[in-house]
Amino acid sequence: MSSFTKQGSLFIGVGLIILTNTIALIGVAYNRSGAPHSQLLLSDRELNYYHAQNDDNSGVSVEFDWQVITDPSANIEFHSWKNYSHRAGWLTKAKLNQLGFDITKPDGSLAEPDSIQRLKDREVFLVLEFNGPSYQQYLQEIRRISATRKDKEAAIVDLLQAENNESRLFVVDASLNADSLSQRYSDKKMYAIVRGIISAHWEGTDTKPELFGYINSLSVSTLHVSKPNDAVFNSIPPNENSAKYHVTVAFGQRYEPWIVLATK
Amino acid sequence: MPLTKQQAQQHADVIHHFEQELDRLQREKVLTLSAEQQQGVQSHHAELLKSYSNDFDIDSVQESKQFSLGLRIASFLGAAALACSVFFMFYQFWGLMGTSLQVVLLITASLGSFMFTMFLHNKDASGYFTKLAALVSFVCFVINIGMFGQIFNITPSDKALIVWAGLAFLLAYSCDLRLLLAAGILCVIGFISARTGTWGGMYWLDFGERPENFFPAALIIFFLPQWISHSRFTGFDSIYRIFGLLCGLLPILVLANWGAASYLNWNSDIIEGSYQLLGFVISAAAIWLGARKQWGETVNTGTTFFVIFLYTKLYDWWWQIMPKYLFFLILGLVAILAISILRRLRGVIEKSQRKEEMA
Repeated sequence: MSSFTKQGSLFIGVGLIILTNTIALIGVAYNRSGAPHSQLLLSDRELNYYHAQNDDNSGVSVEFDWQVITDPSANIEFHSWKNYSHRAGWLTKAKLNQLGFDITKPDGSLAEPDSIQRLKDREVFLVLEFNGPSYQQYLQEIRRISATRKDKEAAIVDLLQAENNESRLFVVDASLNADSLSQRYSDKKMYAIVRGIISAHWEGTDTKPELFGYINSLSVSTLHVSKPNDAVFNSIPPNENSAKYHVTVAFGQRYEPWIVLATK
Repeated sequence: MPLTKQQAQQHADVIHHFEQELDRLQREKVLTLSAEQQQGVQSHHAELLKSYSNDFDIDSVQESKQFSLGLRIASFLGAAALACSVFFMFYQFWGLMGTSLQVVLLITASLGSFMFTMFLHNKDASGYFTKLAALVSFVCFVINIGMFGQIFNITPSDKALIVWAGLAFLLAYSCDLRLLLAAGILCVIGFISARTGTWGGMYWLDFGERPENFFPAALIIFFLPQWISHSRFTGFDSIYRIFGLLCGLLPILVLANWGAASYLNWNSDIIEGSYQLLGFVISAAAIWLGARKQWGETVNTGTTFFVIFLYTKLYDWWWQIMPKYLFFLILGLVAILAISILRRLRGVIEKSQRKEEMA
């Protein structure tokens, strides 16, 4: 190992810090250059703000709240339909194969009851749809299921919740190729392309294994709110749980989002 | 002339031992030096100790070694506390600043703390304050890049680990700091393992879910001091070997008990059995290699893992079926057996080394 001269080390270290910061900032500038790929006008329904829960952190951020349509034919139980696990009905076997999952057969045994075999998660491009056909389909299914529920009062509350409070942002498609998604979902005010993590599980039994796809998370799941937009959130009283706000989110050349404007 | 503080300290210790032994030999009338010779040796050693003390701030008196240990511990704790303080201070106030100020402050903190460390290194012969400043500098750079990710909503990437490792290695090699070397090695292990996971078809942040992802990093880190000489940096090769062994043996220990986490498409029991066997083989090989090459840390790490693998296996076999007194008696007997084997091994190696010296 050749020895480092003190001056040489100083130059290398300063160079490393400056170069790294420069590359990072060029990446940010490139992402935000030109016309954004999409620009969505989201609200408090799609972006959750958790009021200063941590006294040690003065930064403001909001978190994406998104949903996935599961397979409507899979069940009619209301709470299953709510799809908290984010199982995507449209992530079929063929689609998972296209996304690079090895779907030939389960690696091991599914002999144990309720056994699950998880394949390796993958990072892919996802399509976010805002207030589009998926949300309408979701509302239709909620209305249909609510009509059949025995507890009418709870059914009305859940329906109102879906119509007025729940997120209208749905993950509707995935691909390894962002360009093909851009062409297919060209409405820039309804669709945005982002990176996200998906997983696939073998479930069922050895004799009848079934493959299911899940949306795990968005690669960028929280958005930093910089000045002056943070004033909108800082003015929300600590005990206010139903604050209303609108946030314009742009998605740039590298499919990374940022907040353009936040208003009350 | 020693090149590092550790080498100077080692030579000072040898001088003290020599003085004690010479004193004993003279009292037992085995060796007698003339007053002139005695004076010559003493003044030569005093001169050397004085120059080491001036140049490297070593412990020239045996009693001061106790204080040095305390200083090292205080320096490490202080460095960790200061690093935490910098981290939380930024979080406390960053929301009050605009984006431009945040960016300027982050870059300035990285550059300023790095330059201050290099300046301090020229002034601080003891190295305690340099270690403190170096860790703060590294943490400032980690916060710098990490906060850029948050401020600009950048997709997480394993490439950050490489630049963090770069700065940690630079500080370690420039200022002779093992703490920063360990930080750099951890970053490299993270990067290589993440890349291995990506090549294996998984999302990079999930690399810990398949322990085999750590194996390439373990091999590279363990054998690096063999390919690149670290004779100028005392203790660096030991750090590489310890981290290399931990990076290899810990994943093997996990796989020996949780076969489902393996890439191998085999029955879980076969995977676990294979990794148990591999654990024994690699631990034993580490003991053998460490003893041959006189790498104390390799022998100790290998022995520790050999015992862990052995006790884990004994637990699997006998914990349920044996009375507890018998189980612990067997553990004790196994420990006695291990001591006997290691003593025999030590004897064989000493014998072979004596033969080599005679030849």
